[in-house]
Amino acid sequence: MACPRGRTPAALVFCASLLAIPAAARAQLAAADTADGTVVYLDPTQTFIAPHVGRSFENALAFHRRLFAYTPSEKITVLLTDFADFGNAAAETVPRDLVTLKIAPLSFAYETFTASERMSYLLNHELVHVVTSDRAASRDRLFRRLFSGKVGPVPDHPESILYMYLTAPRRAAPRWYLEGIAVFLDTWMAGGLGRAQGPYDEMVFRSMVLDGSPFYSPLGLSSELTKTDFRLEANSYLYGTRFMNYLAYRYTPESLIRWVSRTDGSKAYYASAFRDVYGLPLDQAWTDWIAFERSFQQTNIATIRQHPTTPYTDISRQALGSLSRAFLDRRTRTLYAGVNYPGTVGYIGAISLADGSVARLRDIKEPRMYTVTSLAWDPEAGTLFYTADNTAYRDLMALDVRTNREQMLLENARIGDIVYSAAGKTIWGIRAFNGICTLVRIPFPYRDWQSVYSWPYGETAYDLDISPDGQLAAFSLGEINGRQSLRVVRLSALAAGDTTPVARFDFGTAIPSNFVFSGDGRYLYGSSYYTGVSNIFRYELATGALEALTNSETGFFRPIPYDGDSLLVFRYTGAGFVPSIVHAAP
Amino acid sequence: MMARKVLWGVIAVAAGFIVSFVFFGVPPVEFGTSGTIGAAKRYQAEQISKSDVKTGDTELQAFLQSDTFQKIASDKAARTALTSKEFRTAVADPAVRAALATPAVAQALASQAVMQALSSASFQQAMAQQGVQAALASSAFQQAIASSAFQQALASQAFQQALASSAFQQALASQAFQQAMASQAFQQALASSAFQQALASQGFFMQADQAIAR
Repeated sequence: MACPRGRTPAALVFCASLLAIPAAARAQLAAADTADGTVVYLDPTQTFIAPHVGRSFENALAFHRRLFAYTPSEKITVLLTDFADFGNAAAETVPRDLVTLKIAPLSFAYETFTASERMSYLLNHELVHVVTSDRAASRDRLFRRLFSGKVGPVPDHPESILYMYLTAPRRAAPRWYLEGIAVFLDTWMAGGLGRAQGPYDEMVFRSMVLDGSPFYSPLGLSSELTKTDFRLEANSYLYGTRFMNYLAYRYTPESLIRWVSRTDGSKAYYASAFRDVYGLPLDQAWTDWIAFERSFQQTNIATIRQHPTTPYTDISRQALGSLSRAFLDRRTRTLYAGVNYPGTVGYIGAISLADGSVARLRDIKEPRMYTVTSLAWDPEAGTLFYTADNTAYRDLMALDVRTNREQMLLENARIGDIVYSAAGKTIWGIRAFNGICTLVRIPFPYRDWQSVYSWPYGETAYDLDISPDGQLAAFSLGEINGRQSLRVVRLSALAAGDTTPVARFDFGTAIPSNFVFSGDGRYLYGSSYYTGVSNIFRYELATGALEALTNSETGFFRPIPYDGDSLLVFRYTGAGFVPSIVHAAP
Repeated sequence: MMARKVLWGVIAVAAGFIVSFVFFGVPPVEFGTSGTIGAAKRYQAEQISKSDVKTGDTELQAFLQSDTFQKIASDKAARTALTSKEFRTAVADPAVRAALATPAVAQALASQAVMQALSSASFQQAMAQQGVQAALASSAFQQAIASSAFQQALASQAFQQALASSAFQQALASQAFQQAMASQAFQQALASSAFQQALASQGFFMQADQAIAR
């Protein structure tokens, strides 16, 4: 939908109704009942999506009813929120069944995530948590009657953990169990599109085998790895999902469903229930899985090595954890990037191409786990623009790398994917608000933004870049059906609401990541797991030809045209990304 | 004999293609050159489609995404003005709502000066007057507010003071004033420093009212 400036039919009328409500000091929340739940949302801003959420909720629940023979113990509340710039969700079952949805667009960074329509996906996933934690055997129902319901744990009263266990024992299972089965089932429900078949997950375990990294035990995973590794709690999803995949493959999907179902006669404790279903201790099955995974990944590595792999030269001496988009200052031969590594506060770093040393320029308030920050670079002024508060409403910051002076340009602007365009001294970005992506321009002196084009709900634009002449925008677009494409549009046309691309390449359900213009504007360089492994691709605008430039054993990401056929890339390792140089000819 | 066998063979192959197209459809022609690089093969069933997702009020969403809305929502004075009883009474009038929907008014509302003027206490008071509401709904006002000179005048200290006067409010509501607003010369006059000074004088409103009404 086009958003011309000052599009204000009904505008002030709406504003009046919108803003008048808090004055009356009453909640702006509205509720819509479905057969088994209540969707609670902000009226009138979220009204457009509430019926769709209700339908997605009932669809997901119908699937779980059939698979688990599950009947909710109470009406499930689904709360819509827009308190962050990236979509997410959470489910809780004690003391009440509550699903909270963050309606912002999902992040597809590094293809850590793939999905089709996001409300369907989020509800498919979260309702697995409700089913596996809320479902009660006769003993649990007895205690629920005794305690007048399920008991939530209260920090001041540690004994409440015991009461919770008696009323909802599977809620006390470890995170890898809860998330593993949720990812396994959301992928099943989406017909195979999801992290259980995700290439990022494959890369993580393939890299561990290549690096000779240890596989953690269930206890080590929960107590150490999720606190010390750069992927933090995401490790619960990674390990849990691979283990569930293995069980379904080695035994049967039906046995997996039996294990996670709390039925009359089943063991309350998840590990005891495992032994009951599979006839062996959980730790033994975990060890079997690790042996299987190593062998499986060795086969994958051998397949990759059937073709010559791309040699690389590492720039930094160690892996740097998560890295944002990077920019090269050719004058000083310095690579600027957001860096996020456990045990340190995320920061804007200056990586020397000469010796690989990393200088810490500025801490970043609230970095994101995988992408750290959104970064842009004005080489003339020597200014880095970056986003702070990345887990809430993002602020736009400016950092002068010569003086190390910093200032906030826009607070809570909710703008990311920022790109500096020297043509017109303008910052472009994509704003997330109320579940919708909007292309915005921020003219000098960067104190105000203007909306240019809003994509309809369900279309997620990300990884923006602007051509050197400032005429074209390249971005990736995810659609409701899960299809992803690389698009190039004329900015003037987009401002008039014309989305017809001047170039487009469909990647199916693979994510086209971080495509950037070459200096002469002829090519776009980016990465994709199109072939199953993340490699660097070059797209020629004039011919529409896509060429693979690398063959990586782990994965290459975020290419920057460097020198002749050389590219700066981020190479994935078990400890995070390493900035490297590759020679990349088609 | 051989030719007949070949003919039957060709017919059989053609029939096979036709049956396959009927059941599985004609292979789609897609953007890109996906045939040249082998995409990873994973099992995937058909996904939810765009037509499966029904959402409402896209017009409202389009406005919510605009910088105009953001400016209004983040401006404390504007928020106060918009939540005032007087404003809500005014926007309940269909004529005022229609006026607000015109492009000229919409564009003007994006101006910081106009927003400040509208959020002033004196404007809020003036809004309560039926005559002023009618003036705002008039086509003359819509024309006038599109001019930068008029916007400047609206934002001036003198105009804000003038709005507090009942005489000026009556003047605003008059037919003659509305006619005058349509004139470019009048809009420029409003923005002139001489007019601003005149507005600041107590006796001006009575005279202006009489002059316009004549």
